[in-house]
Amino acid sequence: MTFLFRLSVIIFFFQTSAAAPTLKAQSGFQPQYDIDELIMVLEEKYSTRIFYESEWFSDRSFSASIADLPLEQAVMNIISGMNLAIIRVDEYLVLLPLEPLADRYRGPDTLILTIGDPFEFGRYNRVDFSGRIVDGTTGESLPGAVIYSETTGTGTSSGRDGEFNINLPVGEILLRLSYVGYEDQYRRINLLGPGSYEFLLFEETRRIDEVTIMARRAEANVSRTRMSVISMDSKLLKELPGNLGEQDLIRSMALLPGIHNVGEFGTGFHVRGGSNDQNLILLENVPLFNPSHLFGLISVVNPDMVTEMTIYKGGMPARYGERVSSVMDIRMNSGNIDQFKLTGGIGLINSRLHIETPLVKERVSLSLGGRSSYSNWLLERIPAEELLNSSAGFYDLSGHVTVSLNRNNTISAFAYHSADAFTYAGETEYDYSNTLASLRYNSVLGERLSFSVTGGLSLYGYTLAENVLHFPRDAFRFSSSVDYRSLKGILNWYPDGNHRVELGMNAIRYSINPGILEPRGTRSLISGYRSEREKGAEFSLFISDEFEITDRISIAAGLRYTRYYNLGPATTFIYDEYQPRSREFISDTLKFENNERVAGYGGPEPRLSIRYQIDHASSVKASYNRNNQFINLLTNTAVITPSDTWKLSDPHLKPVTSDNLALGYFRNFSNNMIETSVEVYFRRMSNVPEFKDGAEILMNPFIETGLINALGYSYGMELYAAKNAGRFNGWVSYTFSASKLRTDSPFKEEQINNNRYFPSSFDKPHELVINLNYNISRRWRVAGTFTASTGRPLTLPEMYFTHGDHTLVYYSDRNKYRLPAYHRLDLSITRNETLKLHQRRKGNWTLSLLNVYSRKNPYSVFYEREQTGPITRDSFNMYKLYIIGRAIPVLTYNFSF
Amino acid sequence: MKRYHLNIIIIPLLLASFSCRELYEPETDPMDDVVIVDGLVTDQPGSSVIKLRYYRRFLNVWEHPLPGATVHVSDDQGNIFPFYENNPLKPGHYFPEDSFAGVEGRSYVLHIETYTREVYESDPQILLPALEIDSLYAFRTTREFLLKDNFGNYRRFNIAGNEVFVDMRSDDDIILRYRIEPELLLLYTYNEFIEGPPPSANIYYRWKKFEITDAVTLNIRRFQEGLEEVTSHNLCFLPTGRSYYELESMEAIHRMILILKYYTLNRHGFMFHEEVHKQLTSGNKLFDPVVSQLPVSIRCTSDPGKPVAGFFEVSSLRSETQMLTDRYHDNILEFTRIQDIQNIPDQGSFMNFKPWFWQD
Repeated sequence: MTFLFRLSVIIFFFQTSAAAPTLKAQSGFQPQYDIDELIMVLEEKYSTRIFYESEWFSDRSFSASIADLPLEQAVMNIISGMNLAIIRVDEYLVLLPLEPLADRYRGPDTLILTIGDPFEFGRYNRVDFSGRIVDGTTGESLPGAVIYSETTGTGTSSGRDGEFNINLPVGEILLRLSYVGYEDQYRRINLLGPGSYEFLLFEETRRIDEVTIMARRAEANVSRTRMSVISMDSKLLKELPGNLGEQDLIRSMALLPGIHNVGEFGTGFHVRGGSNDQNLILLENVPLFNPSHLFGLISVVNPDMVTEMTIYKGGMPARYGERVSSVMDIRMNSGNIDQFKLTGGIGLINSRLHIETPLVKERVSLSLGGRSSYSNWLLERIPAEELLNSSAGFYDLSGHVTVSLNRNNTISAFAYHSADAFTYAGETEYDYSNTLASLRYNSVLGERLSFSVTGGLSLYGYTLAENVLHFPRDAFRFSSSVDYRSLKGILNWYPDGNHRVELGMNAIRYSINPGILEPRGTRSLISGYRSEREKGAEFSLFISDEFEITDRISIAAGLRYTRYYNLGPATTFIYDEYQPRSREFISDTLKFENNERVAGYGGPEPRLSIRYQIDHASSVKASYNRNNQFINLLTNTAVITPSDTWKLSDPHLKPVTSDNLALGYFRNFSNNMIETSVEVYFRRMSNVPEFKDGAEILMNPFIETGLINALGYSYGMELYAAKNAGRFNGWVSYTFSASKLRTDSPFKEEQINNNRYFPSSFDKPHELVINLNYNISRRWRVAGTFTASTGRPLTLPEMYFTHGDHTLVYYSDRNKYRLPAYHRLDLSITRNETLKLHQRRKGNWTLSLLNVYSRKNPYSVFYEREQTGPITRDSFNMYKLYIIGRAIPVLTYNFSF
Repeated sequence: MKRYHLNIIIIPLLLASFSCRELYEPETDPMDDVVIVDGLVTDQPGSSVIKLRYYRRFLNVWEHPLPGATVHVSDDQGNIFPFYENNPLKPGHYFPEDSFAGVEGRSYVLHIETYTREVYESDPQILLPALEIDSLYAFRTTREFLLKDNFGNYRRFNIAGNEVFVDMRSDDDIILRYRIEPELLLLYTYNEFIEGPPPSANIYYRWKKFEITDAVTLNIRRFQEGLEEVTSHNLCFLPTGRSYYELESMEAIHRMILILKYYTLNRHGFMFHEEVHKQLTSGNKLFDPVVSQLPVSIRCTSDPGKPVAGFFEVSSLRSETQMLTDRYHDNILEFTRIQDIQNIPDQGSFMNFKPWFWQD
């Protein structure tokens, strides 16, 4: 486990101990303790934790009377004559060798760094100071790190490549550098003129393995300009509650305010009333089209590979577009240029391994990770007849190579592949895969300029096949795929210390194969059919600037302009505009040649975030952003199903547009130990694709006849309170929200609920999450997560009636009812195997108990016909499905070398 | 043919180890006194009927006949055709004059006034020209069914039988919209041996009719310009084992005869039956089923907010009787058209002589 050194850290160096003679005088009359015994007594007496290495004191014993001294005096006695320092971190004391501190923990008054040409001294009043902030171990740049002048009270944060630029008055300045999961660093500089410097920050884990976690830089939530942003580094991500004993990035996100998923199973997540496909999930700048293994049981992102994750629920920076609801930007580990490292884990469903190694020392690094399931092994042990001859499995692999050409230029290549495969009762085979790749070039062009260019590729496809042995005449193979390619360039410009300008372009090419149906085997009677491929291109230009107007007011403003073209070859049906859209009313058919423009949409997407800092511990923020989305996942069920199809905007399916407004109040307490926020938001959406009742998705060349462009809005309030540090930490969040849609058609067939507003399938008015952790000792930690929410909307039968020979259902208005409320408690206890700093192999065991009180939370409602014979049929009954209907213990082992 | 998009039946099998299901009976808003209309007008005399019921929970019975209503059908030529509740054994069933038959190309509107003075009216429904059956054929195969075993548990059974297909024909390049109501007439025999002296035997010629509800077949030809496509439409599956027809061990299946009624649907009729078909096949999916709200073609004009269930269908009707033969041609089992067999009891038995519709 790791911890973050904070502002409150008091560093003091200890040279000698005046209390030593007293101790010696008493030692002859008291029983002797070894170091572990003495520390245990002190910890118990003062209710604190003291971190040290036993081996430093292996040849020493101590008088028990030391325990009677005041704590700090006792500790000074313990380290008397040793080259050790004491660091206080919150209520903890940490003993550290003094020598490394000389390099890395200099106090504010040590080592002054001179910046600028001494001969220019006196020429400037203010100058630009630029540079980079990088990981001192791996050399990786640290985007979002904060450089703050304690002297002037101004600061900025580093860009995507760790670069920063700040305008400061000349003279002696005390800088504080901080970054999530890294130790804060104070540097005193003597600023004489313009200049640059590369700062190294180090992860806390190099020092102490077991203290506590802080979610982010202490006051970041208050001081940064943007709101509705959640940013986490790898350490914190690993602290999030697991899913089935596995760390799960995406499912853990659903515990944060404003984000939720459909249930215990299901692909993706919903943000502020938006649908699943309205979230852009970027893995190293490339979108992920299906983020789930096992149809949603766990996400496809290997947690070991993630170094940082940022999710924007609103106030999106101009560099992001493509989707209207949120952006989740995931940065993958780029390897270690210094040393080999191996991490892994063994869990209920899968095992994983991650290797970091230098390929060329300090120049080229490699990060390679993979996971593989063994669910087949489990399936064979399930005594269910329908699971005979069934199999289910997945794997994912990712690799990241980074080449540092020189100090200012780096190239990185990233590749990812995930695959899932199922066979159900030996009959139906289903598989899907994601393949992602990106190539990125970063260059720092000087003190004020840097740029990056990224080429990306994302392929998603799924295949469904019917087994030829069982149903030779029905045997078929169906496949569908998405091909996404992009080129993105970003130029960062720092005209002065106050402005951070970002300029860029993004070009995307979409190609979708909606479906190919092929007969399988020679006896199949299936007619082959190939849906027409869809093509599209999206171009965006964007510019943004982040700056402070006054010490209290800062602004992040941006503009993104996007154009999208639906391209041929295509066949487009023209429908009689005075009739409901139906095959019956096709008035014309248009054919388009390859790359001929079929339809075009676009427009400006303004972005604005404003922060007013009330005082050092509180601020008010507001944001607005407009987004357009030109690709949609078509689904006609509330729960995302594996066979849902991606579709591009075309002459009939117009792009989804959303306008997002948010207002927030942020307040920290107890020297940033406790963080609270209230955010309210309102989102308006247009052209949301809704399905007519019972519409067919697959292989439907007239899919527009089943679609309705709906209007919608959502609003909500998110309350959040977190204690980020200390032995006892965690958070409580509560979200009140509403998400509504309505159709706007004069034709009865194209109306849902008579054009009245109805709750979207993601409407959950109330959601409560309580996540608490308690560090019992350095070895043991317990954690618990309680979640509760309103059941999701549901359309239910209100009446069964007979028509002809059948019992039919009269359904309610769409989403008129709700599933029963959801609530669940998970508990876990973790034991670390070793706490020794220099022990290479480290491991921990986690025992989780999921769904402690065996709540049967319904995941979905489905129907089953009561079939009494092969040629007759009766009515059907309705059932609730529980994914986890009872308490489940899960044991997980994680290790690293 | 199995529907290729039933793949959402596939579940993460792993979940089966700890997932479960329970019968769900949610409380919904009461739907009392909703009128249920099951109306049919065809171009064949004697086949049109308007069945009216209303929905009210009473002694665990939800549907009750709706007698005493005034019912008539009007066409776009200004003609009005009254329907009468003239069969005391069928309350709530309203029949026209015997000579009444719809006319191709005309539109019809249903008017209902209940005894409580509620007035209902349908949208106009056009009667389209009839389609014809191009061919009927079958394959010997097995099909898997999820059925209850002797212990009441669902199990998979592989059942041998004949998969029956039909091709429809239309001379024009129009969208084919139709539904077929197949009825199985099973001819079977029972040999009774009587010990002597002298020993003798009786042969019983028996029949039984089955409504094959699984055979609601609604197909639409895939719209492709310039491509004339004939698709094999799966009509029904006829098991060959006697137990599925509740025959005894000494009884032997002799012939299978399909009595087919096929209706040419207009767009509204197709939409209604398409949704019916989806409702009937929406079971067994662990994800939420696709909600198939049935289109409403009837509204309550005296109380526009009041819900109405059911449909008023106007279709051309044709019927054929086809017998499954033993003749194979290109691995296809042929049907042969025989004379119409109508107005026979649902089941019966003749000893030592054959009924008039018996086929050798």
